Amino acid sequence: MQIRKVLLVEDEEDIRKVAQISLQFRGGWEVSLATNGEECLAQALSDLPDLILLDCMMPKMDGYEACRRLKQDPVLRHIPVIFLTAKAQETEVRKGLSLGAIGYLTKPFNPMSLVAEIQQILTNQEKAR
Amino acid sequence: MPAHTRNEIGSMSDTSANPLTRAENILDGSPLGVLVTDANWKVRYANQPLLEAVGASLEDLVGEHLLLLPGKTHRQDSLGELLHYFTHLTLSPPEKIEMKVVPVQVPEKRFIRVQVSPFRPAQSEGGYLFLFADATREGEIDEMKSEFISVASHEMRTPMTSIKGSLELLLGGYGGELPTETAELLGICLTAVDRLIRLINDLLDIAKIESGKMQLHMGRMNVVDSVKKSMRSLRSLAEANRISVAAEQSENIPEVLADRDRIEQVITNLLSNALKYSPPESVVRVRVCAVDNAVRVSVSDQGPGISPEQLNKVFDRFHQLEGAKKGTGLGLTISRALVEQHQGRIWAESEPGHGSEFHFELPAITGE
Repeated sequence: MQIRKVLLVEDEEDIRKVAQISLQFRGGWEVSLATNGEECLAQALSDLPDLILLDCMMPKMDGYEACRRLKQDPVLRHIPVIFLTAKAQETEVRKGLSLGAIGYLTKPFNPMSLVAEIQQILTNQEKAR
Repeated sequence: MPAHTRNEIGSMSDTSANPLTRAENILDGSPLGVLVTDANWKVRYANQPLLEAVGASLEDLVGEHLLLLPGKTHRQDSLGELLHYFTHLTLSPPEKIEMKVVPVQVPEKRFIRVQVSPFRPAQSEGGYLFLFADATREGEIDEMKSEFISVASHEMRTPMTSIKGSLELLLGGYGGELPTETAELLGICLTAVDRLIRLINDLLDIAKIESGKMQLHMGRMNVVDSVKKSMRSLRSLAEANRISVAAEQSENIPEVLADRDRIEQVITNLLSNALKYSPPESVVRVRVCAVDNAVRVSVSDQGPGISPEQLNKVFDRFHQLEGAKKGTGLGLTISRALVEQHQGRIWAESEPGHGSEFHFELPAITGE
């Protein structure tokens, strides 16, 4: 699947910046940003991105709730969602996958290989179909 | 309660004639709780301060198994942690004096220091002497320290992650090609940040373990798979140091009930220690074998070995052997805590000049 636009949802400003640069630099992708689950839903509706990278622990609305709502929305439900999570929450995020996300990436991620890991998840997903 | 009002242990008339009774009367005046069990963990004696603390009479306790004690006391205390500790003792009986501070809810949170010493008198059968003392102040300070470490480490981890990511982008060519020396300096930063992240993760693990918040995600697993995975993750370190890693396993290794990630962490710790202390062109051996209802993993190296006085301390916090530079001094402490939380045991053997061997055992799943 061809990715052009990505929505990156992450509350930590510095980590958001590093991930944004990494996606632009390594993937050549257009990146829009959100800092919590509520902003994610609004931004997704206005941008209709090809992919959503969603942090799990965020203020206002966390990533799990945002994912649940994305998957209930008839316009947004087809957009693939990948969780970004701290290593310590790995067990929790495995449960979060039942909400409809296609995979997860653990932080700290290596910005030089982030795009490759995302593409691996997308490829696995297409094969599984 | 003064000793002369008691009648649980023999009659008072023979106090002077019976040295045991006299000793018991002295123990009743002690501020410590005293409990004596036989070699099979059945209670033989408890002193008055202990009986008062647990709200039981001597008849309630004598002859009872140690593991049944928390259910025999008249107060409705939650002594789960103490029971957990007792279980650990009966599964791996101490061979010398062992001491531990245990949190209990009675009903407010308190800490008790339990000291256990085995005794083997020449004429009568052996057993265990327990001394219980209040250690609430000590336990609270320790908890505050763990809480501080936990919060501080969490707060440090996020900025470390950003620094690491930025350095990786710069080294990866995001700002264009770097002059050699600039790349070298950034490389030093990255190595240092990686080490800090490892230290922070280790501190967080220690804080979790010490506050009892380390949760294990137990499942059936084969230890051999974890050994293979650890070996793969350390292959480049072994190759860089020109050390070969040989794995052996006996047939029919039973499965264990354990947290896969955490067991892999223990094996990786032992293996990376062995690699760090090995001379070039030497061999590190990893063996997995089945021994009496347990699975044993042994990692041996051909390094300088550890002197007997150092050998007792290698599992202590921040203890590092001479020549160690790249570690945090917490790896073996974490490994020991993880293995013990799995009801297993871990130990080291070494002879200076002839390498070291570290072993751990986990209870095997037996029967179906």
